[in-house]
Amino acid sequence: MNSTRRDFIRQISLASGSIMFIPACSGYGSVWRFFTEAEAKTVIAFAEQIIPADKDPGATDANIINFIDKQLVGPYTRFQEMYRKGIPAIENSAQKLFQKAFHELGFEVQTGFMVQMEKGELPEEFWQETNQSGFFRLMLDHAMQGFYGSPRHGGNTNYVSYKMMKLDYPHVMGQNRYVSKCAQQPLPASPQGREKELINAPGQTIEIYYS
Amino acid sequence: MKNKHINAIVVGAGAGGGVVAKELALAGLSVVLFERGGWATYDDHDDDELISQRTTVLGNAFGPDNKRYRRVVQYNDGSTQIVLPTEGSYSNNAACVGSGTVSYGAMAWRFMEQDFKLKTIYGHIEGSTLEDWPISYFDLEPCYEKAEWEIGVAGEHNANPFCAPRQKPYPMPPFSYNREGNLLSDAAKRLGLHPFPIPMLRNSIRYNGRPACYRMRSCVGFACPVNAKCGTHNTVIPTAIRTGNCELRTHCQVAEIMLDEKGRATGVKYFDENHQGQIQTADLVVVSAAAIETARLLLNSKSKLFPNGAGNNNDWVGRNLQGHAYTGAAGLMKDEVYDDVGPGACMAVCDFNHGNKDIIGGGALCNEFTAMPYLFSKMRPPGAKK
Repeated sequence: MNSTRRDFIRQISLASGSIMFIPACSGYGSVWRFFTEAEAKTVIAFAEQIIPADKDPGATDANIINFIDKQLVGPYTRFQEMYRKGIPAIENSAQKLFQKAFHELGFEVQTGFMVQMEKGELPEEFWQETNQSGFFRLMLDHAMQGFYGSPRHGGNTNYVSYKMMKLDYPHVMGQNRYVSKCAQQPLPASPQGREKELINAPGQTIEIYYS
Repeated sequence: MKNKHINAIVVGAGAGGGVVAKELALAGLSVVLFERGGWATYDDHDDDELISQRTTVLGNAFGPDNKRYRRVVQYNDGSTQIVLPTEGSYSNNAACVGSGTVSYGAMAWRFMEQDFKLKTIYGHIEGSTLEDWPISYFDLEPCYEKAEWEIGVAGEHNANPFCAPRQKPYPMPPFSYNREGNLLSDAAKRLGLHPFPIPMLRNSIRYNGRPACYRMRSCVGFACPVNAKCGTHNTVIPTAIRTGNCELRTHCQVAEIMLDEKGRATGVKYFDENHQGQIQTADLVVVSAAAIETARLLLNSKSKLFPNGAGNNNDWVGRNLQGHAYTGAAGLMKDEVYDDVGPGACMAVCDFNHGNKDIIGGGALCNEFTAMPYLFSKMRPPGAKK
C-alpha cells in the first residue's frame, strides 16, 4: 500500500510524541539516563551519606546512582518529578545555609543537613512543591534498594552488599546445601528461666538472650 | 472464531481452581481453566528480591502486570485513586498459573476442630458476623488427606498435641530445624509449650517425580529453582491437562458471568491475550479467583434476577473480607542465630490457637521466613541510633 499523506502525518506525530519526553531526560551533556551531571553529584553524595563506605563498601562502590538513574526511566518513571524538583531544593537549601553545593560540604555537615531534612527543618521557601521529609524517605528507600537489591537492576555491583553480609553470591545450589552443618551443631544451654522473665514483661519488646 | 460449548469453566488457576479443574477433568468433563496471568518460572526472576512477591517495588514476577491490571481504590472519605499492582494498597495476589502456590511460604495447616464452631465456643461477638461453619472438621478430614498426599506435605503427624485427629500421616517426613528453630524449640519446651515442625508443602524427600528441597533463603515470595515447592502448577494442573479434557487459557481475564433468565450461569465473557472480547459457554461455571477477584466478578455479573450482581441479592458479596493477618516480634540475640538455612520458618507452637483468657480466638506462633536483605534493612534493633 502506498504511503498516504495522512500516514506520514501520523508517523511524524508519533515521532514528536517521543520527542516530548526529551525534556524529562538528561539531555546530551550527561552520561546518565535521567540525571544531569550536577543532579548526579547531589544524589551520589546523598546515597554515600545513607550508606557510607567504611571497612565495607558503600553507596558509591555499589553504584547506587546507576540503580536510581536506571529505575527512573523504568518502573520509577512516576518519581521523576520528585527528583527533578527535590534535588534543586536540596541545592538551594545548601547554598542558603552554607553557600556551597551539597556534595562539596564536609561529611559531618552533610549528615547534619540530612537530619534536618528528614525532620522537615530545611528552609521552607525551597520546599513549596516537594515535601522534604517525604523526599528524604524516598531517596533513603531507593538507596537501600540499590545497595541490597539484585545487581540486575544496576546497583549492588558485584554483590558488594552480599559480600558484606557473607551471603553466597550468586546463590549456591547443590549438594552442599542439602545438609546444614550449622543447624546440626547444638548451641550451648541457656540460663534457665531468663527467657520466661523477659517474655512475660508486658508491653515490652521481647528480647531473648542466649548463652 | 466461536468457542465450542463445553461442560465446565473454571475461573482462576490458583489453589482452588487447579484442584477443581483436575477433579472435573478426571471425571470426564470438558473443562476450560481460565487464568489472567501466565506461567511463572524461577528463571524469569532469579532470586531478585525487588520483584519478588514480598517486595514488589520494581515489578511483580508473578503478576499481575502494571499496565493491564490497575485498580481504583476508594477511601473512606469517598475519594479515589488508581493504584498499580506493585503498590501496597492494591492488595495483590499472585496472578499466574498456580497463583500464590508458586510463590508462597507453603505452610500446610489444617483447621482445628474448634475453628469450625467459633460462634458456639465464643458466643455472639458484638459488631461481628461470626458464625459456625455448616460443616465440621470430620467432613473435611478426607479432603485434607487427599490434598496432602496429592500435592505433597512434609510434616510430623503426631508432634502437635493440639491438632485434630487424622487418619493417615503426612506423605513426607518433616524438615529439620534451622539454628533459629532449634533455639526457639528449646526455649518453648522450657516454657512448657509444645513446639513441632511446621507441616510444609515442600518436598523433604523426592516425591511426585520432583526433587527434595535444598533450603535456600529466597523461598517465600519466589518460585522454586528446583521445583521442590508443591503447588497446583506442578501437581493438579498438569494432571488435569494430561487427561486431555482440560484446556488452560492463560492471559485471559474473565469479565462477566453470563446468566439466563432463571439466574443460571450459561458461560463467561472474557478478554483474551490480545485484549479481544470473547465468549465461552458451558453447563457449569466455577468461580475460584480468590477473595477479591471472585467478589468483583460476581458484582460485575448483573442480570434481571440479580440486579446487584450474581448471588448478591442480600448484599453480602464482597463483605467480611478476611485478610492475611499476621503480626510479629523481633529480638536481638547475643550470638549469631542465622545459618542461612531456608526458608526460615520451620517451628511452630499451637498452644495459643484457642482457650486464651479474654481473647477471642488466637493463632499459631512460628519463626519467621528469612527476610531478604532489602526487607531486613528496614529493621533496626531496639534503641539503635538511626
